[in-house]
Amino acid sequence: MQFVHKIAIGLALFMTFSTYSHASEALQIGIAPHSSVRIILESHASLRAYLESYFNQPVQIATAPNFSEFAKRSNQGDYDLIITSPHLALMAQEAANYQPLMTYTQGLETVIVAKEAQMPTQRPLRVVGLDPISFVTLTGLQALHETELGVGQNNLNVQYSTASDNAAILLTQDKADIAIMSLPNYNKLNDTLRAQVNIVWRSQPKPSRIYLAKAGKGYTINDWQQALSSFTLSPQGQEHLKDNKLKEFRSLILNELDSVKPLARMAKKILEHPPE
Amino acid sequence: MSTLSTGIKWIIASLFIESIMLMLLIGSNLNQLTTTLHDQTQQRLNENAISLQSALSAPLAQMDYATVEAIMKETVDLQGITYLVVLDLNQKQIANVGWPKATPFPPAEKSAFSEASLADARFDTRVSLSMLGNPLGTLMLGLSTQFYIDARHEALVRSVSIALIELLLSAALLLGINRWLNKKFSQIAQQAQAIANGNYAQRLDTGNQHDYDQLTSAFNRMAEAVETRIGALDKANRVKSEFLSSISHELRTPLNAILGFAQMLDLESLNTEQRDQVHQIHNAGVHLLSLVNQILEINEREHHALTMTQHSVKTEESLVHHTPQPSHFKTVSVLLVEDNVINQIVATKLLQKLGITPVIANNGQEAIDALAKASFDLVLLDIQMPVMDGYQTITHIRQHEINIERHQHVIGLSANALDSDREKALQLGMDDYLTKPIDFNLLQKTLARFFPEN
Repeated sequence: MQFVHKIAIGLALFMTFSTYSHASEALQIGIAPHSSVRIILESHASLRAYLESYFNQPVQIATAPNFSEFAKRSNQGDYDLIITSPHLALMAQEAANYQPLMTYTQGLETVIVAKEAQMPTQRPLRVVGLDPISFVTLTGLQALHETELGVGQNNLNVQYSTASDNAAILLTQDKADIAIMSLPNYNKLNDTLRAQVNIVWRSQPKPSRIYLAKAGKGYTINDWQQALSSFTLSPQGQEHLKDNKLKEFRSLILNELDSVKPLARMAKKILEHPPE
Repeated sequence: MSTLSTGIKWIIASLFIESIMLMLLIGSNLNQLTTTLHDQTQQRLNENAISLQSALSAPLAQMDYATVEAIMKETVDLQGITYLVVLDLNQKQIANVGWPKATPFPPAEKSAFSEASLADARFDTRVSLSMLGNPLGTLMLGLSTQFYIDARHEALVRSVSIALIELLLSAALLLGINRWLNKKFSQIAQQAQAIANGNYAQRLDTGNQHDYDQLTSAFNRMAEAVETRIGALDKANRVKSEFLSSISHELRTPLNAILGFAQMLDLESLNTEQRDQVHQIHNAGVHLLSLVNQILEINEREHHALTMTQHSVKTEESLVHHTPQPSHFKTVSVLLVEDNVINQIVATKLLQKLGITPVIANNGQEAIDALAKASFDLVLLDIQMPVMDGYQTITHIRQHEINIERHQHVIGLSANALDSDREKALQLGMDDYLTKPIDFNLLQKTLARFFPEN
């Protein structure tokens, strides 16, 4: 009887503490640094506002200076909700018990761009990527040395640039042979620059951003699932799709992320041994 | 305070009012300074907050705390910022530049120049950090308020110094004016006193101070008016006095006749009724003489504050009742110098009662001529006469007897009854002085004094 008593008191204290936690601690949404901080905050403002209202507590959007740092924090479980590319989502799921919950119907295509209309033949090939562990860079590199393009890892000389337009400029100035970027970013190049480069390879569409949640701060995965479902049906959810030129939200199918395991492995290897 | 002069009291009051006004001015200036510096500080704070917000937002959103701290280190030395601390949304410290470790953070202060801000020369404030509505944390910031404390102190010292100098200059100026005015008023007071003392010709020097001119001119005009009026009054009084003297003199001649003849009748053999009637005439004449004397006395008292000799009147009053038997002065020869015929008759008759038949001269010149031809034991000399008056005559007689051993006895006999008349006559050399109407008894006594052997 005394034991039950202690349990009851403990439970009451826990409930009090968890309620207090709800009220005082801000929820953090970690968003992969695929754009500038301003664009990231702007494009997720409606989501932040909706969740803040839904949970009735402060919600903060956070990002990281680069993908490596973001991946590190995600794998440590620093964020309550993560919106990131599939391979980093898979890593976070494995490392910190995040649960993938939803994505967009629209897939993301990776393109390889060159100055000429054909894939350059010179070796080693000077490649410009965006970030060593970005989904697009790794997709392009995987295609180059492992699969259909058959360039081979030893024939690649990879450098990284912070922005897609900068990578295209490097091509026009003959400082690189090919550049890896996302199709949306290619389309965002200004007309003059885009007219000087050509798509020499294009991937299949792959899931773009994955929403993952983690139980904590008094909320369960189910709470997050309900919050996100509610968001997708809300005007703010539609506003979010419209602002980001996306069509719809969709749930993830079982083991959908398994297809990006090779990319996740590549990323993990790079994180363990960062390029100099 | 009661021992202070009115001028000094006014100066103190003026300086007191000026002090209050200066204090208000200093207060107002300091308030203005505070407002201006407060606005500037608030503006600087806002600018700092905006630039820090801009600089810190991206690294905060990226949780790039190293960059956050680097930006804060670059900022903290600028524009008097003493410390910068960034807290996350859960109030956990993210970065700290300048705030001592393990020291509790100060509470936020309401105003840049609040009491607490000035006490430790630091304004502790908070700035919420956010980007596009996304809360990022709180920036705690300490802004030095030493510049304001210094500026306020400097302004206070400067203002108070200027105010003190102004007060000193004002005091010196007011004291100078007070002294100058006192001097001027003192001059006016002295001149007024001089005029009060009868020096009507006193005037103020108008000098070259135009503002003082008006008062001086007014004073001088007043003094002039006083002098003119007093002069006119003097003149009028003199005319009145001369008129009354003349009246008195003219009344004495008929009175001389009345009293003279009454005295002579009294010496005659009369029955009781007749003697009583003579006494009535004499008493009425004495009474009339008394009235004449009173008029003359009042006139003189008013004017010269001189007094009448009373003895002659009193003597005259008692004359008739105690008239002794008259003496006879033979061996005495008398020259009677008199212009008025009635008086000549009265004097002659009275002298005859004493056994003297005088030789008559009608004026001073005739007297001198007579003295040149013959010698007389005594000259009875009237004063007011045509051709040569009594004063001129006695002066001439005394001047011409310097080389002669014999002294000519001269007794004044005049209707001028004042002491001053008597004194003047004696001064000019007369041996005695009798007034008209002639008191027979006194005449007899006087002759007895001059000629005791008779």
